[in-house]
Parts: sequence; C-alpha cells; structure tokens
Amino acid sequence: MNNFGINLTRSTDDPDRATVAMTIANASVASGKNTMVFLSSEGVRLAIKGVADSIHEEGLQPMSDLVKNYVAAGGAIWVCSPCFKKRGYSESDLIEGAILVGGAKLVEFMTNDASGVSY
Amino acid sequence: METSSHADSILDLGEKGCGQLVMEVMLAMRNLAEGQTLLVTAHDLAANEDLAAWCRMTGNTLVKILPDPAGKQFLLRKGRS
Repeated sequence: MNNFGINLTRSTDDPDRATVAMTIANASVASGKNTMVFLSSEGVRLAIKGVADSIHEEGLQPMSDLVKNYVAAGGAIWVCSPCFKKRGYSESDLIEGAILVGGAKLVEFMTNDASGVSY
Repeated sequence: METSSHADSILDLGEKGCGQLVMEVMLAMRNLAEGQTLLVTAHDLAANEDLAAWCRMTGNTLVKILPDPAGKQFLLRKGRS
C-alpha cells in the first residue's frame, strides 16, 4: 500500500481550502492508500473537539462528515506538536484518532515512498 | 444491454463527487463478494475519470459506462480484496 500525505495548514481561517484538503484525504483513504493528514499551523484546530462541526463551506461536504468518515476508514491525523502547544491546547482537546507528532515522524512517513499534496 | 436489474447492488450518488463519491463506493463495495457487481449512478462531471482511477487503484473493474438521461451509470465488478 502506498503512502499518501496531505499537509494542511488551514482550518477555520480558510474553510474552503481546509474542506478541499479533507475531501482529497477521503478520496485517498477510500482508494486504499495509507493516508495521513498532517495538521500544522492553523490546521491544528481541525483536531480540536467541536471545531470540525463549525465548518461547512457552501457547496462542499460538511467538515464533520469528512473527518468522521476519514477516521472511520482508517485515515491517520497527525497534529504538529509545537503548533498545537503554542495555541494553548492540551491532549484532552484532541478528537479521537488524532495524535501529536513531531517533525521526525513526518519525515519518516514522507521519505518512505510517499507522495503528497499541501494546502 | 446491461440494466440495473443485472447488478447485485445499486448506489445512487446524485451530485456527489470527489472524495465523497469514492468513499461511498468503497463502503458499498465492502458488502459485496468477489465477482459481484455494483451499479453506480453519478451525475458529477468528474465521476467518469474518478471511478476509472479508483478501480485501477483498488483492484476492481469498471465493466462499462451506461447512458442515463440524468447522468451516467457505472457498472463496477468487485475484485479480490
């Protein structure tokens, strides 16, 4: 199974871009790829309980559905640890399926024959 | 001519596309055994390309595309899981 990584730096600050990124993530995991969404910068807010429920860009699938379906299908959500900490969150704020990671974890994934896109 | 009555299961996706489209196809195919067929109706303009790519990646077969007045119908055959 090939690795496919999606780097997402947006969330409530750019619902359009964030929703498209998670739509692609759904396509990837549904296509049998070992899929990982790396949330960094403002993107980390997507991994906070309740935030996805507040995002529904017109004409696109609700973010809560995208995240729920993605995780249920086996997609990974990795959250940039320093980005998370600098925004004052704690681990208990994380949605189910999301884990905190540092740069080495991302580098290991992406250098293991991975392809990827960034939003 | 193939019709929906020949498929083991049917899935009407309406205007759904992109990630939502293939996610729902993937979930529907989980319920089928190898060799069974799924007839998908999809109006999304990219469904043709996306379903063909999805089948290539997942070991399933896009058997044929059938004309439909409101969109297109795609007959998929489940491959080996």
